Amino acid sequence: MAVTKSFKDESRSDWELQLSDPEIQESLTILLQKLPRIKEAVLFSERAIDFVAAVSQDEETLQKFIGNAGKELSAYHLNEESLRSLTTLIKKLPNIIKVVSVLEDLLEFGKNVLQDDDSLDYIKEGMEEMATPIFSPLKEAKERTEQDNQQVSIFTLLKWLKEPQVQKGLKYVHALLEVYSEKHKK
Amino acid sequence: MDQKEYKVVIVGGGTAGISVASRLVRASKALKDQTVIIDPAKKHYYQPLWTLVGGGAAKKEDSVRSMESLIPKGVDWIQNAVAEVRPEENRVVTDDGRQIKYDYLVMGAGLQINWKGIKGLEESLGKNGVCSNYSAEHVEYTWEAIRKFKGGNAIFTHPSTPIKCGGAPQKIMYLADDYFRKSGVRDKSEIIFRHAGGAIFAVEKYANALNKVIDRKNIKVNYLKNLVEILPDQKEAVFEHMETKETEVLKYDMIHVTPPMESPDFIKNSSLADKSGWVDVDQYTLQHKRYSNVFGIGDCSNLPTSKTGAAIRKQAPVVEKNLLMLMQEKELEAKYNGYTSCPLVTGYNRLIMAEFDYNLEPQESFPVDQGIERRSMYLVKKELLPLIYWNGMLKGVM
Repeated sequence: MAVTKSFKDESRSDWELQLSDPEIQESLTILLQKLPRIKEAVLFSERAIDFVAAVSQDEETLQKFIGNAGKELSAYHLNEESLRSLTTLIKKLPNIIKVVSVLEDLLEFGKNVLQDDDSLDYIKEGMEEMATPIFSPLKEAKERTEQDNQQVSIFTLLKWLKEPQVQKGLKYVHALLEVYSEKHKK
Repeated sequence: MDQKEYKVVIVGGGTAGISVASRLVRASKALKDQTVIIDPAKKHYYQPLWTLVGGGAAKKEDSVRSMESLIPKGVDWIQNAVAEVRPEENRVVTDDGRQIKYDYLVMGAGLQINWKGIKGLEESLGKNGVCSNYSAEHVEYTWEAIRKFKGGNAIFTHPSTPIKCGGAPQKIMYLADDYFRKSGVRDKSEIIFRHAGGAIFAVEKYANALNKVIDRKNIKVNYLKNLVEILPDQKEAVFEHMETKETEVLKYDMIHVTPPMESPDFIKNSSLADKSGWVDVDQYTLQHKRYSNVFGIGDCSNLPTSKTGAAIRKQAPVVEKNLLMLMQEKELEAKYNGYTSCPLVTGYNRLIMAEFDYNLEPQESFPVDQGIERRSMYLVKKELLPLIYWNGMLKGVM
């Protein structure tokens, strides 16, 4: 008897010690606070288990389900290879989701740009600004050509030959022909 | 007393506030009509464009949109200034006395410019060669000052306080140098850079590149020199040495001033602030260190990184994710690594795209060496980044 009593006393003091621990007290408080939610979760799980048990015992429903699923799947010609692919696809889903999210954001961005008149004007202005240094000299040259009625003589051509830009261009063409010729020989 | 209640209150409708608001209502339908932005401004500016506006390479009207057009659908807007934040009561008070109660608060209030911090500056700004790209009202005057410069001393300053876009004070100087060469006045002018800090840039890789630009452009740089006074009648600027406190007076023909900046008064006066007045947040989760339902983002926070729009682009998703996790009583998993970017314009059509993190290590996005001046990067800044800002960042998709 004394041993039992002593064991009980020991357990009790251990139990009291545990309860006096503030961390345990806090955990118990949280547990108590969450009890209504825990109760709901248990009840929900119980209902779900009951439902699954009822379905598994209902042969008619099971036959119907399996039959339908079989028909659906056979339409897709499922074989070992496609099942393997499906497994691989599932494994890669997290990465695919990341890529799809980025694409979704990019599409959204593109849509926003296209719907924003100010942005479209800004793009247009930017492109014009970039194109001006390229096309402006060409346009000016074209206009001058149209207005110029002067005859181009052999003397004019000789005069042009002295122009540094023409000389540079001719030297470049000469060098290019040399390089091509050498490559061709090889 | 008029009182309203929201699940999420966002203080500030700048880059940070609008980005976070857009992200939150995109991520959670439950937050639609439960989120409010408080900001008195009617206009919203894309300030990174102002370097190019001041340099005559962009138009100011391309940097502005009405605030109304940017407030995301499903987000309310209270067009008032915040007078007080009471995190102990989960309450924000506006300057017209309205009290707005919140469950969660996002502080994205930006910073305030202390024009009065330099004696004589406020009254002389925008005339007689005194300009600043940091003023919405006077940014276009910078271009006028550069265009009308006929030689002499062109001074550019960098203050001792934290500033938004740390590279901006020197970017406009590089553009001015380019223009002076083009207009034929460079050989009769001296370009002087007075920097209150100790180096041209915090990241060694980009500092090396910028020092080469400075040498090539023959710019006279002095460190630890802080502008303290403008004497407009004499056209003189007074500088004070940060350590010896010795003063130096320089004549100017034009001066571009980067004013001192500080945390907004209502933050400094609240218990949200750290000792320096900035919102005291965890540098990784962006959650307030004492008030768990408060997050800080952007210029008003005490994050040890450069205050830029690019930094906000990386901070906004962290605030969004962590705020939603907090609502679901989950552990905050999203982490910000201090990423920031500074597109350092070094001339018309030339730019060094600096990108780095808390450790001052380059975190470059493009598959090229970004420590080299490139035209492609200039085009990214001028043509692409504004589009990304208006249509991606502020819409919560980029």
